[in-house]
Amino acid sequence: MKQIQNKIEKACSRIAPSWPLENSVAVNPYLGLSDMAFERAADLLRKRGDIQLYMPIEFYENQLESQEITRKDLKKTIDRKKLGISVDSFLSELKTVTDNDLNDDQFQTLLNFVHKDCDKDFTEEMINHTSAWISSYLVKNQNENYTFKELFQQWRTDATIDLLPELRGLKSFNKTIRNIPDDSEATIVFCLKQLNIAETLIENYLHSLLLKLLGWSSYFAGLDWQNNLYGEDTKHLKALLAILISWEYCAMIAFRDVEQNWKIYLTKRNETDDDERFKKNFSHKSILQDAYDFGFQRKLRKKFRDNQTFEKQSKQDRPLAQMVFCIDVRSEVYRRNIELVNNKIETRGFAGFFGFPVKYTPINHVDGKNQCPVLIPSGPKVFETTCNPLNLVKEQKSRSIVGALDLAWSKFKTGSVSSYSFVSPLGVMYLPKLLSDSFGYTRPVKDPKKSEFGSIIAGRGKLDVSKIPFNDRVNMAKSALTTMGITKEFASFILITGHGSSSVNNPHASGLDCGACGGNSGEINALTAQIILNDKNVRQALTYHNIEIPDDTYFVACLHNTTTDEIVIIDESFISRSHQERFNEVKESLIVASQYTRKTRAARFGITAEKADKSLKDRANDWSQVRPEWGLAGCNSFIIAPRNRTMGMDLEGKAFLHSYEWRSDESFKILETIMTAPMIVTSWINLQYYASTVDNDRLGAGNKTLHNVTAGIGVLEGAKGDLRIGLPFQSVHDGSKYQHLPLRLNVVIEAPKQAVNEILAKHNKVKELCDNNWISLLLLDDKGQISNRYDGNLTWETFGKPEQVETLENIKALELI
Amino acid sequence: MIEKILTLTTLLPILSLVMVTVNSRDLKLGINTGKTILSLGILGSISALIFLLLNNGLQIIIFGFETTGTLLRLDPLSTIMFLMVSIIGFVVLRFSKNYLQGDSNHISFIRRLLSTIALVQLLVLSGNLIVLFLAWVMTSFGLQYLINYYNNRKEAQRAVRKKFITARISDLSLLVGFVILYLQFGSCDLEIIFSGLKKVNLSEMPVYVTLSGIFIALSAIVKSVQIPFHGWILDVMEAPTPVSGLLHAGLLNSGPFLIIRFSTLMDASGTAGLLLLIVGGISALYGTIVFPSQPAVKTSLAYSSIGHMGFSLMICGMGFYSAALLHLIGHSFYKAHAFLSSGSAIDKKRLSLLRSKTEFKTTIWNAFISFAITLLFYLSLAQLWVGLNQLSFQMIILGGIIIAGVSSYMMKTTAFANSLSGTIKSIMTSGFIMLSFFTLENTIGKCIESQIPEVIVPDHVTKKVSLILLMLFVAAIYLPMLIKDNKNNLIAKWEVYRRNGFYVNIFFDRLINPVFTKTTK
Repeated sequence: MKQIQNKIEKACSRIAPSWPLENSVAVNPYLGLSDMAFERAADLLRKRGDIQLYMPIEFYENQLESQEITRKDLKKTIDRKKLGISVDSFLSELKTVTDNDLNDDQFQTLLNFVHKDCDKDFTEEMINHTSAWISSYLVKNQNENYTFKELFQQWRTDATIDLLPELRGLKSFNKTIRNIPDDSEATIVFCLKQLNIAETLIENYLHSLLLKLLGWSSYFAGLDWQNNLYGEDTKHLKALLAILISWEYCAMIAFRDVEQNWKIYLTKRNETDDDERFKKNFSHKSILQDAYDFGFQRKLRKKFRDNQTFEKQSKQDRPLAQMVFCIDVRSEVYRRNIELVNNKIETRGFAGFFGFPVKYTPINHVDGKNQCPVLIPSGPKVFETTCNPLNLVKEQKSRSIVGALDLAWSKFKTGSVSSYSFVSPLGVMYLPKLLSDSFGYTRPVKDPKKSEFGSIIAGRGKLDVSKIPFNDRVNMAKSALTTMGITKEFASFILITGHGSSSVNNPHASGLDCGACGGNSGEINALTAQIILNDKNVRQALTYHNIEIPDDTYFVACLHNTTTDEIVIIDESFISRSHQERFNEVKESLIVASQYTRKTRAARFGITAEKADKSLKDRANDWSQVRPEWGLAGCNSFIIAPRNRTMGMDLEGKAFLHSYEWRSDESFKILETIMTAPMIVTSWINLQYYASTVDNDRLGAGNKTLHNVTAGIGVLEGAKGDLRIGLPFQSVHDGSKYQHLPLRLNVVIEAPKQAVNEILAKHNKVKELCDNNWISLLLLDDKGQISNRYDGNLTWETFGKPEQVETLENIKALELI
Repeated sequence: MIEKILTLTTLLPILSLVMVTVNSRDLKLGINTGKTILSLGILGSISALIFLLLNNGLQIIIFGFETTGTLLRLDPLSTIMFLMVSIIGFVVLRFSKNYLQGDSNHISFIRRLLSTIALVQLLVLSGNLIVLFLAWVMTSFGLQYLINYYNNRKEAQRAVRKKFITARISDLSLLVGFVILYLQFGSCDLEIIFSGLKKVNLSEMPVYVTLSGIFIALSAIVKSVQIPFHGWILDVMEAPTPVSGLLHAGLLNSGPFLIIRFSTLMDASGTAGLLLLIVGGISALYGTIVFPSQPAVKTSLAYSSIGHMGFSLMICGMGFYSAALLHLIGHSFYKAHAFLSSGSAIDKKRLSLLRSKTEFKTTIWNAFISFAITLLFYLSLAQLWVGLNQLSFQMIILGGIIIAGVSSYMMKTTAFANSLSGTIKSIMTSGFIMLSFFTLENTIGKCIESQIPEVIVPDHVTKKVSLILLMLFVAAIYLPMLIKDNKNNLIAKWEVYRRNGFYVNIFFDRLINPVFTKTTK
């Protein structure tokens, strides 16, 4: 019994969590599989869920043709895998490989079996029906007038009434449901037994079942994750599993004839499933993908080689400003440009919540928003308040009245019958709105960000951090500054630059916001940092930790709008008049850098540089725009090193940059934090893009033009089907080519090998990612060159001295290998 | 002179159809030409409308040749519809430009979109049975091509199949209705038929009038997705959002439009009106009860459209054509906006979280007060506009529904607000809604006066049915408020059935599927 329970848990743990679109967080969709090698996971997901982990073969063939994958890359891969074949024989074999070579060894559920034997496709019926039911359940659950049972129990109650399955031909559905237990785990155990699933097959079977409704499975896994993080133990995913297996059981009762064949199949399956032979096509694709990754690393190494490292200009003047950006790839372009515009401005990269993992609660908000990565629970609470504290109660009341009127109005508009009373007299009034929305003068609905913290930004309200105990403030300030690496030589202005995007009518909008802030915009974190770090008492306390911030250093919160590339300074009123002039210089540089950045980015949209300003801004206000910006598409590397290693290098807005100086990192505590937090987050983002690129049908959100928002949580593609997680096809593809290339994240660290090894040895989860090829680790040497590549099991491959590749002769010579 | 220029306006849809076929290579050029033609359509129809109204709407601009007779006509009704279709078309076209950018078939989408818009324009301008019939059939094919845009999607194919069958039922019915009319009046010209109808002695109730009325009404019922012909519209989300926008705001309207166009006939043929009243009324109830239970935005909007079309047809059935047109226009703009902005649902969710928890503790007392205030608004406005003793039966029924809806709004706000400003605001809003209803209804009524018969006192049966419907509508608003207990088995059942659209769609599928398996095999 205990063993069965473990198997159930295991199957559930294979599902990666996913977050609702209101604060979507990029998650590695293969999260539950990182304990196995990439190739193995690919094989498993294909068999259990028809999910591809590689591109179609044609893609790789094109890469071979265009020399993105060279023979040398291939050779390296083949050698590394110790396959003992020559490149030529591999290439000639490749000609016989097609994408459809294997589609016959997928795990069948009973519903698949019914489909095959009786020609009735209830899998689709189950997906559509369950998906619709869950949506309704969640909507009703948000509505406080109803008291609802737990997920599975409510489903069971409804399923005994619902006529649909029987109308569609699933006989005695209602009756069968009445006979299953009332508890989800008991149901799973009961049905497993009835369905004759052998113990060895349980995980395989249940995982396959969950993958049938992958979207909702992920959503519930996310719900459980979120609850777990805050100390609540919920088992939504298990309840969903119980629902799915109940369908299977009902199908077996309704189609008794298949039982015999089903049993035979299970026995056969039991014998073959542990067979680890990788089939032909798979090893081919895995070699090609590895070689493709090597090819990129080759180019990355060259980039580092070609970059004449800017030796930090001899300790000259104190910099005018230091700008701290999020590690987000979109900051890279801006940083490059601002450094170019004004060399007195330094930039740094740091996780976008700036070490202040706050929970922000706007006035009257039901719960508050966790403004931090979902890997950690949010810490201290901050609040929206009025400038004059005496007005707070009044403001609360007036907003709740406006809110109630709004709610009543929307109920009037969308209520039974009253919608007729609305449309007849007032429908015509939508004409002006229709036109002004169409021309981008107005938005269809208010900007939620404006309502959430607009008053603070506009100066009508302010952020209240007083609920954070003083000691916590000091500690957060200390650890933030230390991890940022700003503990001495403070510039006059330190711009804490959060980021957010702006788009209209875009269900996936929050996916373009700051992932480090949990799918939120970064204003609040930056402001918290500003308030705390400018606090005289905090600064006084910091001196005990050997951090002396000069009196004329100002921390200034800003927001980088990644759609328009404008940087807005949230509040500058506290900067003394004597410094205003110097600050103006910073602001002027920002304006110029914004223009440059837009011009740089315009190319990717196929817009000419002259049109960049207008065209990019238009995108932010266009309700029909499906690609307001490219977001993190293209992300392929994460560089953990001092900025001067990458300064002046064109990383195309595809690299995450974390500033890190190992020489001042005693006992490598900071590196440990970086490798266990930001590195995981960047890998999640990278693998989310990877998954949405290689298999948009299963792990991506599909076609944006068909999206149908359901339950205020996610989207369906079209009228029916599963919840769609991941990124829309439009977010990775521009219509003619992929804007995200399927590369696994290359993490480049400048630190001693030993230190990295120690951290890996200590954190098994991180080591798994590297050992199993979900991440590639590379090291930078003292000269800023990529010198080593992680080779699994704490071993490293050393790159020889810089090869003199890329000259014509060399390419020819290489062809001969 | 003016007349000649305005006549040319009628040719715009034909022009755009030609443009679409000629100018099919270049995407940008296609979109820009489309926008220009639609803008011209907007300007042209506004000027035509002004011109017509200055002439008391009595004059009709006719386009046709001696050999063909009237082909197209600009009268206040067709001009208003033409204007509306052009505006919706313009907005949808603009939307499709960036929305489908990068789609491998973008140009063909624009082509299909433009030709469908042109065909709808043609439909509303028709001055002749043949043109009207052809446009009726062709719009449905235009739409079919749009729904089938992603033709590799199984669901899209299914939707197209269902739609194909339903549309042919509608076509056939219309054809029969028109043939009867032609046989009777010997002409295809709408003007000749209408004036002929006015001369018929209605007390004799000629069979041909009744029959053609019934067939035309049936055609409209099927076209405008009334129960049980609504299944396909629930699957149209298998095509890009602008298709839904155009369909719900443009094409569905052709049902009620047809009825208003043939209002003279409808009034003459009593049974047709009754048919519309009953089917429309049931569909209106059905749509409005089911749509709030749908969690997916677009699906919910689709059910709501079934209801709104039903509501329009129901009002037509009562013989209150100006109100039906008003509802039709209002619904078009509202629904176009709702569909195109359906991506904002997540923003709405986020905004709703900022409202804290709001509960409306309504009591009998504020229900009564709200009802009294709304009624007072209604009565005083009615007195001002027409005089209470002149108030028609139809106005009372429609007024009843609006009063019920508005007072349900006011009773919530007064229950919560316990603030003077909130209460005042909600009372003013209610007053404004009433005022807006009377003003607009009257304006539309004046505009199309020449095209519709006067509102008459309905017969006994119609009165009875209308009253029953009114009671059901009121019950649909207030009953759910009284029910708090969802443990009750009956209510649980009702909720499950309602979520499934009472399974009507499935029964229809079963009916239709064998037909298809036969034809495809």
